[in-house]
Amino acid sequence: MNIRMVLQRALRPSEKAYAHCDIPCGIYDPATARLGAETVEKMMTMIADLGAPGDDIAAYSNSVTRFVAIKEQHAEMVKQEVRIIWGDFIRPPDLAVVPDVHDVVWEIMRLGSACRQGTNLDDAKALRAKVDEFAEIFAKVKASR
Amino acid sequence: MRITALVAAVVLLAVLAAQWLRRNFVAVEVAGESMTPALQPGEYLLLRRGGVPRGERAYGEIVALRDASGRLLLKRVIGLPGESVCAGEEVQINGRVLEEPYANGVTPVSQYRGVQRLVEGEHFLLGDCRDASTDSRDFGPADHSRLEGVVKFRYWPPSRVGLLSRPPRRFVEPRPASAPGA
Repeated sequence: MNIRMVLQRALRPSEKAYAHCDIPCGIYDPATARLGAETVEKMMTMIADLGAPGDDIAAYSNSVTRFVAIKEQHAEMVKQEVRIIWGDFIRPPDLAVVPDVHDVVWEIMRLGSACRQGTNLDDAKALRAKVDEFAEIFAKVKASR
Repeated sequence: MRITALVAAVVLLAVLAAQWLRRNFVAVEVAGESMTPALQPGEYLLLRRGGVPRGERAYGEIVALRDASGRLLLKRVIGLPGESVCAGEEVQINGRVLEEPYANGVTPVSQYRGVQRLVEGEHFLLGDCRDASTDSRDFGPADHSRLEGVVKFRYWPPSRVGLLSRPPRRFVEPRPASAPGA
């Protein structure tokens, strides 16, 4: 532990004063979208791993239904979360910093729909990659303000 | 004997100074980003207890007040008693657009507030980071009696140690009307 840390610890006040926002008014974070995209990919993988139905059709149908339902829900959530950040957080002047943001968002919308419609694992992987790219864009814009 | 007296005097002075500091100031750590860039998260501040000036001199001061859950909040005084405040993309005081070099971000449309007349004792408080702050746009004006103190001094980090001065109050000059027929 260096002197600065010792000093900082010794001088630390016991009370915190909050300069923050605790209602939905400008809190943006792409973490939810990333989690959603990861879930979609996981569900696609689990669907692929199921293989052909065996003798227990009921169990097989139950699993497929659950995986598909979660995939649907999370793919839509990804689209919703990205739309909110794109519409409310990103502003025209930010295009100077992130000129490709519209293309990335459009790709996410397209891939999100593809993931809802089908079970192609490549679509899920592409969606996840694009959402990661969007998270980087978000970080760039935030750092530029 | 003389050295002992000197040491005793120094200790006494130190104790008195510590008591004076404790009675008049409270140390707090900043949490959150709604007052950036003026205050950064993790900075240590000294608040002067109850030292919120009245009238024009209150403008621009960063003050502390408690929310309903008892947490201490830090916000800047923007509107003063008797004034009409309108908070949108820009802040208007009595119909004039306020010049705010300390503010950043854009107020979300959901936080636009129409003209509000502040009564005696009321102050309109805003966070400097306009797109990420819970302030008078949400909880309304704050009465002077709720303001617990004023941020006076930053003592951590060492690179930003210093007094916090309040900005001068300036308004954006209205554009001159164009000449008829121009």
